[in-house]
Amino acid sequence: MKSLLHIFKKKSSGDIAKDRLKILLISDRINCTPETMEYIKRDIAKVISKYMQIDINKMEVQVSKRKINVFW
Amino acid sequence: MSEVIVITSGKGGVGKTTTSANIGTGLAYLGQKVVLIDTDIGLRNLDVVMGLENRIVYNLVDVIEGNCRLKQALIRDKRYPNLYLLPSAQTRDKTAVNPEQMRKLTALLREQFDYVILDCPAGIERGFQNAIAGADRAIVVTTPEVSAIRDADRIIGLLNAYEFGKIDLVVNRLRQDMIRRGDMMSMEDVEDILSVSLLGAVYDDENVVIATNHGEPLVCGTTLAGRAYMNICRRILGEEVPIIDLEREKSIWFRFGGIFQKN
Repeated sequence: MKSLLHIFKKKSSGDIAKDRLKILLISDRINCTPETMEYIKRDIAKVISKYMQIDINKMEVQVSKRKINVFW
Repeated sequence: MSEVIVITSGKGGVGKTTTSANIGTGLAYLGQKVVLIDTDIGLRNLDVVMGLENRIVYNLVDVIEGNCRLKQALIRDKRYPNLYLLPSAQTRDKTAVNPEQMRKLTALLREQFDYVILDCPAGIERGFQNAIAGADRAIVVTTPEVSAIRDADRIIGLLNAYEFGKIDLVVNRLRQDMIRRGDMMSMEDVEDILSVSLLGAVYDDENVVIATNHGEPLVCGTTLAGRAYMNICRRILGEEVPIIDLEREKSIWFRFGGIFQKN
């Protein structure tokens, strides 16, 4: 029973590696340091908190590359 | 038409030299005329993996500096008549050679050989710049570990910045037992993360160490890693060879299939 719970609860270390790499490589590729990310996060939080109340500790910022279709 | 291939990885110790030795030997075994060049000046190793360390007279830097003719520095492997090695210098450093000189050298070798295989040093500095200077295509070697994959991604980025035509991936030292437990990324995972085409997957095999002890590449033998390297060579020559998948080979249906084929 314990082992069954174990399987459901714990993420395998291979998956953890994959997830960490995916995030790491995004910042590597665009040459963005964690420090810069922290600044971006702080600035975004500052702008948003001008208009509404948010908890900066619960906020998450991710940079990713994606094709965006723009219509007008 | 000859091709210049650089074997690179960024991170050290992932199996660049072993891969170079086996791809070079395998291509020679398949009838191609091949020259292997060790571009790691100061830390030469390809000679010892190939078992040719006692036959070195001249080296890469001697050729570049004109201390000898190119032909004098090329060591012919007696086991495979089509295979030659141009060893690196042990007592010099990477600044002894520049990318322009390497470009000229590979252009010269291209006229005489079907395949020129360059074993690249670890890192992204001068040695790397030298190794990729004259190459047409790159084979990036990585292991399924975060550090090696991160460095491989950096190397792929740099190769793309140089507008490298063809970049392929070899995932080395896979362990089926760990992948099955979920404790190691699979070759598909690595291919997916790096998004370059997978040229081959090599399972962790103790025979690699044994072969290196002997100074004899294992590509022509029947070991698991040897078969994987031979498949890589066939794919380089344009053959369509399926990637060895241990999971599938171990499954009962595959075994049944094998029995039927034999009968």
